[in-house]
Amino acid sequence: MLLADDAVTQLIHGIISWQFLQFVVTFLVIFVFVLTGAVILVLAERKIMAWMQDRLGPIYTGPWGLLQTVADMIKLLLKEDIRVADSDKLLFLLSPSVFIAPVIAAFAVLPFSPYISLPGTGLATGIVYYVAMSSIDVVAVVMAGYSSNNKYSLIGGLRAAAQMISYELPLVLALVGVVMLTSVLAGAPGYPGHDSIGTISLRQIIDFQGVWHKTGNPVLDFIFEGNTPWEWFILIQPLMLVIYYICGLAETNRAPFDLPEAESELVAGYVTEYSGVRWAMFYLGEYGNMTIVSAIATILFLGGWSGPGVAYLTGLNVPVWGLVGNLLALVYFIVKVYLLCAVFIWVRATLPRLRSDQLMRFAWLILIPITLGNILLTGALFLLISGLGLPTWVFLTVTGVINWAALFGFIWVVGRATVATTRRAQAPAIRARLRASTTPALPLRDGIPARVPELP
Amino acid sequence: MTSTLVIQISFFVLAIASTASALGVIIFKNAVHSALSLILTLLFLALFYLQLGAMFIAIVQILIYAGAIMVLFLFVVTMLAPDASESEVRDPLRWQRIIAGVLGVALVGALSYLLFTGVATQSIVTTAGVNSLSHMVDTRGNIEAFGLALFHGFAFPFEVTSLLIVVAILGALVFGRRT
Repeated sequence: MLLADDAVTQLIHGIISWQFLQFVVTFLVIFVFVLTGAVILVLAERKIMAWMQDRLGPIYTGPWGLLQTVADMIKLLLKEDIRVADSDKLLFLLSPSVFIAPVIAAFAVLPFSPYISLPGTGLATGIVYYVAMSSIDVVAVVMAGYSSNNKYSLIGGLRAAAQMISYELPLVLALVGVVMLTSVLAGAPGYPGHDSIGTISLRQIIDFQGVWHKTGNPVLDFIFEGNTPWEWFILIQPLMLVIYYICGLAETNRAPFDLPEAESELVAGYVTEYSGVRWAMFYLGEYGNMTIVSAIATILFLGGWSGPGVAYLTGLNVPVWGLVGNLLALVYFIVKVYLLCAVFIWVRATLPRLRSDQLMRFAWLILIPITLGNILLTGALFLLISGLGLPTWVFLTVTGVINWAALFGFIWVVGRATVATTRRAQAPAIRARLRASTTPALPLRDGIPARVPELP
Repeated sequence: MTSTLVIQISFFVLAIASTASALGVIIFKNAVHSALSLILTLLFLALFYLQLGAMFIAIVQILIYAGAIMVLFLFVVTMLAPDASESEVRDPLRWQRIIAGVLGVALVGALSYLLFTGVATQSIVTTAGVNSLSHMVDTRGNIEAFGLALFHGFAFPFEVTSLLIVVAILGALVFGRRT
């Protein structure tokens, strides 16, 4: 009895507390963000792509077509849930849930603002947790492809699995550069950490990009406290941001890496047989993944929620100003995330789909060597520069300069590789045409080529 | 008091669930179902690690076993796409079932003997001191302790393992090229 009383009082104390309120607020914000994010992104995608292709896009439902995706969503929820005959029933019904669960779970480590962040954001294993969750998605894709009893679904599922496994490696390796930078900076004056032990916690990586020594001037402090764009890791490792972003495109099966859903060959890949709510869940998961990739890129390379006024207002310890600061942080974070999502859409409207031979070669022959080289280079430069006794900012500058140069080198290499692989793929056709043009055209006899060329 | 009760309850729930899913691996006729059941078992194992406070190992368990290795298994198994009729083929080696049963009973007996007499766990409990790993985890955090142990204490085995993996990859490459 005593034990039960103890548990109940503990429960009550647990519920009536600021931590629990924080949990509830954050959970609601994140959950609503996940669910509505897809609706907003689909609309944004259709509108932006229409604008880029000189069309109007949806215009009839609601003002300026704004309610189109809401109407689509309602239609999807009311649609019949068709189940394929002779399918693997259990796996077929489960796979949408398996697809969307890790997406929602991955949101647990994303800090939206200093206050609006689940206890999970303090998780010391932030980046690894995110990667683990995104790796579970592949299981659902294979399940959907296998259980649909459809050749197109199976091929789509296997393509997706192969692609996601290959691109997960450079994705993780691209993030290692940032972790190395935090371990270089840890313990420096103003920076968190000690003994040059870095961090893989997302919350702390944001702190590493916003170190500002107070000047006492309120205007300068208001703008720059916790908001120091010259410390963002994009300036030091721009190439890694680009590679991470490319791998993110591949992980989410977005164009130009949408081979698993290539509509001209595979109908819709592994989602071919799904309809109604389950189809919507797959799309919710895909757009959720897109948001997560953008959010992780924002946190690691673009300073997370940092912007003018956030750290200053939350540091005042006045509830009202703290609220304003947190809302500002939320706005900055979501604007940055959606700007990166807009790049996703831009890429989709711009680039044609990769061929399957380019897909694997790009990951294994270009991305993985470059990311491994970046790790090696960052470590070697740090050893060299700290061995010479030079300060940390020299290391950061040198790394930044080399990385920016490497970014343009990367663009050049990708251009060359694209041309080379395209030439190789087209070579048989070109050779055949050359052969055809050198041999004399067969004379026609009654409109049909003569079987044997006549001698002149 | 309550926390130990909660831990015990969650342990038994996890134990039953993981045993059930592990049984599923060998009971399911369909190879894809077996592979998925194995993934479930590995996820439950990760929850066990989490319950022991080993956050990093739990997440790495999900990442490497459930997310990478099992996905490769699943990939191969689905690509071969076993038919339902194919798994009904009778076992050509009937005597191996008896031997497997005997060996299984022996394994269970040995493990439960070790578990209940506490031979293996005693040495770990006695070494808990200031310099032990658990002390380091408490003072420096889970990942930091892990990283320090990996790159300072076990740097040589770590490097040797990586060499081993490179050799394995090269071997796979050579065998793959031959076809």
